[in-house]
Amino acid sequence: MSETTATTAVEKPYARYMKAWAALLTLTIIMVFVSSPVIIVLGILAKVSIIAAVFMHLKDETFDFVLIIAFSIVFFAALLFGLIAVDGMAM
Amino acid sequence: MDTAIATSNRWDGGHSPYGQTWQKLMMWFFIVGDALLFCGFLASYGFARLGSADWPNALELFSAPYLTVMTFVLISSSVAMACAVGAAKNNDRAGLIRFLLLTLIGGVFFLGMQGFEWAQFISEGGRPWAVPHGDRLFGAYFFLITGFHGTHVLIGLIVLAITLFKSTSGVINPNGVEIAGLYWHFVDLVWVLVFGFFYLI
Repeated sequence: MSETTATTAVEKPYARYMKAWAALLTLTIIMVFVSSPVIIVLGILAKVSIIAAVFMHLKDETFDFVLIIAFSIVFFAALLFGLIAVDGMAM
Repeated sequence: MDTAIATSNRWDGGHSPYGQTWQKLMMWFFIVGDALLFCGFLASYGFARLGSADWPNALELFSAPYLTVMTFVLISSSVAMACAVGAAKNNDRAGLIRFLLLTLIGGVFFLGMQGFEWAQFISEGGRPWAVPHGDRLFGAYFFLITGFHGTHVLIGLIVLAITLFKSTSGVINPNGVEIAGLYWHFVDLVWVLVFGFFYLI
């Protein structure tokens, strides 16, 4: 009984990884061919989210764990990029 | 499995926050710090670029198809690593070794391509203090950012080689493979940011 649950629990992620792989490669190709910075940034955010959620298993972690990890990175990255962008635009 | 974590040993995970093993928690904390390091690099690069009048177009200095292949290789290597973690959890030694080998080959291939790109840029006159044309800061940021990322790949390859060596005999340690995997996926994640922000935009 426990063996069958283990097999199904592992077999499912393989299919999930293949889907994520296809999505990442498609996004990469789209990003190379478009020239709009907005689309490229959206592509970057989509790819980063896929890697963190599927490959790094953040999708399967508890909400408070995701919160301490993702929130700290996103908050400080937004602070850095946001404040510097404001300064950079003013130059 | 997870409910069985509660043990008397405080370092076994039973008393740790979020029900994680301490190794995994510490790897995540390291990743948070490392991510902020790269955030600092990229934000500083963005600032320098916005303030520069003649920033060179990276895709004129480097080949876009070549960089796309590099990205493909690293993403595929990351997929193989995810499968290796799955195989380790399934106690499938043959699968684990096969996927770890694929991951390693991808990483070596990526690093080789990056080395070749560096050699070419250097032969064209690219230095941390000079570029063939345009703003000199481009050279500084190119070597800083891709150099730091390449070093991360190199360290990841060493970790993967040790994980592979340990996996060939004895008891498979899914926790160790998962932690090596977390680091490897993080290296892939940083490359996505570098590829997008440094080369494409």
